[in-house]
Amino acid sequence: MNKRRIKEYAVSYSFLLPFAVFFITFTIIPIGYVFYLSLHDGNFLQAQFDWVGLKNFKDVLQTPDFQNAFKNTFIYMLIEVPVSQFLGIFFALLIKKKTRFGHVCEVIYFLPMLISMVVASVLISYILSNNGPLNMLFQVLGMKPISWLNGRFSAKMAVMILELWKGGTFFVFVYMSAMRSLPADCLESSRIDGANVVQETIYVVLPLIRNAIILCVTMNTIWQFQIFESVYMLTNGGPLGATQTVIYEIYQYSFKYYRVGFGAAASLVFLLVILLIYGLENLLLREKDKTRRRGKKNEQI
Amino acid sequence: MNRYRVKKKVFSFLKTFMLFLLVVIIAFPFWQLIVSSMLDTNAIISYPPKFWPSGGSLDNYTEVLKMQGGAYLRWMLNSVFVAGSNTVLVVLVASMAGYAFAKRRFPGSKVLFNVVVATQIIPSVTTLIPLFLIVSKLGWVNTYKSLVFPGVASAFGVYMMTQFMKDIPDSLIEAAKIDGCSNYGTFFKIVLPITVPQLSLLAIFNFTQQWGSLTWPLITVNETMMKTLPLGIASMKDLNGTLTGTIMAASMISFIPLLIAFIFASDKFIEGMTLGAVKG
Repeated sequence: MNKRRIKEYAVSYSFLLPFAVFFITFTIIPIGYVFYLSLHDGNFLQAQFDWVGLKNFKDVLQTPDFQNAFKNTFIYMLIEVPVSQFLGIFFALLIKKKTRFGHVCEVIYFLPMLISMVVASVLISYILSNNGPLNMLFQVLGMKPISWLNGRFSAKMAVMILELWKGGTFFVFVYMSAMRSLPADCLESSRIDGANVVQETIYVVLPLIRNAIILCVTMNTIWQFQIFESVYMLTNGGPLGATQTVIYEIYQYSFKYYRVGFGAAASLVFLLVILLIYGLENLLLREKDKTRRRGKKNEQI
Repeated sequence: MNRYRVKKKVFSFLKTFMLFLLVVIIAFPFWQLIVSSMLDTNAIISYPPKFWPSGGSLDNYTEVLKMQGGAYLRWMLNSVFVAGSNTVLVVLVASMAGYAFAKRRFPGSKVLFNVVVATQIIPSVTTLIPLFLIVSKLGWVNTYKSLVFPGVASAFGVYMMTQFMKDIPDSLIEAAKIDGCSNYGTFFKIVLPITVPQLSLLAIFNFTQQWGSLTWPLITVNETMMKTLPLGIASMKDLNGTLTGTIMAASMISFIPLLIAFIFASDKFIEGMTLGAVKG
């Protein structure tokens, strides 16, 4: 009996084995390694890494490039996340009823998710180019054309436009599927009680998709924190560092200046920030469960 | 009553208008890509921008295919091979692990699953530097191995497959066992075939991600002939970042394979790409 059980376990582990090999080599070991690297100084060319303690972390926090990159990243996050969430909910409300026209819209809204950030950046940089269609529209409307990639703020705007165009419609789909799975009786009873569309949205639909909103906001925040490819393609961090992001700087310091320890320390600081965001999300989600439980108790009484 | 009707009509018109506006915002850049891929560079950067490829030709396309000794075709093949073999491995490895977590009992099952799920939180940049050091120590820089293998450790894939495998009725697996199917036979002959719809969702998600991935190839590949499409197109941009007709044509071609797949299976794509958010 015991022997058979051991054999069963062995078979179970054998199913896990292929994944375990990849997972340990390319996820677990690198996680341990990054802690080691962050406490050492060295570059890719040297075989040796010298122990320097917490010096790298001190350097990261004191380097103006990184302070600037964190500031930029927060700006991206604070502007892009509310805009894309608002638009996501707004368009999901418009498109949630299944119609033929709606389906065509869905298919087209999906296209930016299909292409790579590289292709998306080619498209958007053409739209935003000095003689491009957007500036032509501005001129037709009697406004001044903008040289998007040359101004400190307008270059940030350009990155955000690219991010929004590429990633914004994703949230339309997430909210749409959340709204479509809502119980029909809730909406019906609010209609019977005489709620108009706006009231229904604010008091019935939004509270019911609260979890989806928290999830989307967290996801979006973390994406915005990880902006790299769009900046690399569109502006290369310029003009004068106005669009640098944390990951862009980590890339620069580790793979252009070969400061491996410094880059490792920076990526751990970055990890800490991400963990804080997740912690906040969990707190918010748990609060919801609590209130729900409380509500149930009251009902029983 | 009449006022109510008018209000409703205005409302539905506004709704259609907004939806249409977004369609234009999304589709217009694609149209411009098609137009400018047929124009020469001067016509692309001059004012006013052209909205119709009048006087255009397919010269850009032939130039793309000929440039740097056929490098573009090689990039395309590299992308197909890398994204394809990575996806096959991810689906196979993740479904095996997912099956073990969802349907089999063994000590440490819960702890190991939680470890895998927890690593999803860690952003890829955190392990980027050590990963590169490991890959270069293995001598994999500028090889397919470095492009294909690190991505196989997909914690997301295992998580999704575990969720999918939970939906398989236990009775089915037991029945297979009673009929004399071996453990592996049950998995490969019964479980895998009935989870094909879910496997295809993970495959679509993974393939699309790999097809567009830039960061990792950028770090681990610098030989022209080993580049993938995104990296190749990115390297076509010169220092000034001028958009040339060839870049437009190169972008256009790189987008066509996924577009064709999308046209045939748009619902699957939409389901697959929003997988993580909806089920997670």
